[in-house]
Amino acid sequence: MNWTAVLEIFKKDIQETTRNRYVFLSVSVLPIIIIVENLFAVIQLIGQPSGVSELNQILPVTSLIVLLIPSVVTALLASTSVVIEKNNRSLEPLLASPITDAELLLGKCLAAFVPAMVVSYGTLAVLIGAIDALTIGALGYALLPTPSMAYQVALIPLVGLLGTFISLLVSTKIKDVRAAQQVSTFAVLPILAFAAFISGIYAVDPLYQIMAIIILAVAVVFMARVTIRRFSRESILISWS
Amino acid sequence: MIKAVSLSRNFGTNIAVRDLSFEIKKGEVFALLGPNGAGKTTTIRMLTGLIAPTSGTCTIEGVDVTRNPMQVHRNVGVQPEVPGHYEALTALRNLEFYGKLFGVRPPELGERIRAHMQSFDLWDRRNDAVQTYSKGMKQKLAIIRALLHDPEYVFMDEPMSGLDPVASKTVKDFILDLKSRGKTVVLSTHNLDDADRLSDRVAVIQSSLLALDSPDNLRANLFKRTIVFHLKAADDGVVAKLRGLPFVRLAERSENKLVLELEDPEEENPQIVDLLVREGYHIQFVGEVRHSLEEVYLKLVRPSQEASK
Repeated sequence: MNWTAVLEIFKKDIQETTRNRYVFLSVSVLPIIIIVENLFAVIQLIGQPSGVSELNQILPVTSLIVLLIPSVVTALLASTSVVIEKNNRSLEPLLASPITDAELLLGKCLAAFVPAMVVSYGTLAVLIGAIDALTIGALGYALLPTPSMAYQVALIPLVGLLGTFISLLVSTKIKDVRAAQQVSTFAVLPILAFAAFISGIYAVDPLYQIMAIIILAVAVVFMARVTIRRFSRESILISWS
Repeated sequence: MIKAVSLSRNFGTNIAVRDLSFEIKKGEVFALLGPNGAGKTTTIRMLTGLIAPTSGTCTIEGVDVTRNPMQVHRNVGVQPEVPGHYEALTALRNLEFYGKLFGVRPPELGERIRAHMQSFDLWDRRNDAVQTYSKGMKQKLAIIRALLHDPEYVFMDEPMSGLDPVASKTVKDFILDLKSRGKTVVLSTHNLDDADRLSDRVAVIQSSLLALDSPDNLRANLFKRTIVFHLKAADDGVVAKLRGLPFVRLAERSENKLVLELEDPEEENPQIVDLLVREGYHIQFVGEVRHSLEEVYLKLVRPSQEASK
């Protein structure tokens, strides 16, 4: 594996996609909305008599909402990266360089996955810190993180990887950046629905949570294989349209 | 040397390239000519290891292109028909990206970029996003990109497309400079004048190989040599006399010009001059008609196109 090539593709993709105003705004605004909306709910609950018990009820929802970030951010970045390559017709010179299909795929995956992880965990950290800062005076102890949050923390990279692979696959079939972003975002929603279904909202049993993680991990491996097959230079040059 | 042996490529039921065999010698400029859809781009893609042939083999310096594409790519520069730049990035960033992919390290990379951009008159615009470039500038940038790693083999698909006459001259001079430095250049072009001027040999293809030779040999093989005698005054009588000569294949008059097709003008011209002088005609000028590569091309391609209809 030529890591210099992987790193160059990663850096180039980040530079290109962040120059897309729509992508940049979407990636920046989503965490802000999630943070503001959650803090607003916490502030409202603090002053109420039943606030603490209600806080305990909304916290799983809060951490689950954070899962929106890896799915949406990877969908935006991965689909934009592929569609830009297609629109620029830049894949042919890229494939004429001494990079393997695997290096190209890995570079593209990392360019979607790494920022999504940074934004997701960053948002989660800000939320935990802000919620604790707001509630520690009233509670006398730090409310977060709770042990059950380990589940959401583990789900973030799995959801991010699935979002990346699904979006890369979807965007090989679509020429328009916006359409690719929208279809990719829509395509990753079932992952979220699945995570929500098995998550602390519906089943607090850790067994369900471990099963959900295993199922998602298997799905990641399956989607990775499908994506690798689709990322052969033959199919990129001939059948991507 | 590039060697293609029985290269074929099908896309479903469509046969894009059929049984193509040729050799491209090191240091020559080789042009692939053919109508749209003749398989030129597919051939270049197979020769550069971008797609695999359905059957047949291709080697560059003995390395099998299909089996070792990475090894081949290090030694090959490709300028595709569509420049394919990252439009939102600067020209400099585009070139740095490709330079690093090809393993060219700073400071050599910076020096090469500067030298090429200066020779193509792009250095002052190096920090501009490529999307602000004209079509010709993008084309020049694509050529620079193909040359950054100093490849021994350069494949250029329509290199003069979109270029103004000055830029086109720059590129043509550059191709000749590559040749003078021993590089092998494979051109795919519709511009037959450029192919004629630049190429040592041309291959005319229409799925399969129709002809392969130097432009001069193709001319000689396809057309009789045509000599024009400009007379002060000509008439049909002289035409009839010339037609009587056994070595004259064709004799026609156009006002005061006599157009003759001969087998061996060096041997036969003096006899014609003798005849004309003897008959009292005043010869003003004698010249040979040089058939254009376009005429050669059309003579090769038209029958093939009509047969396919």
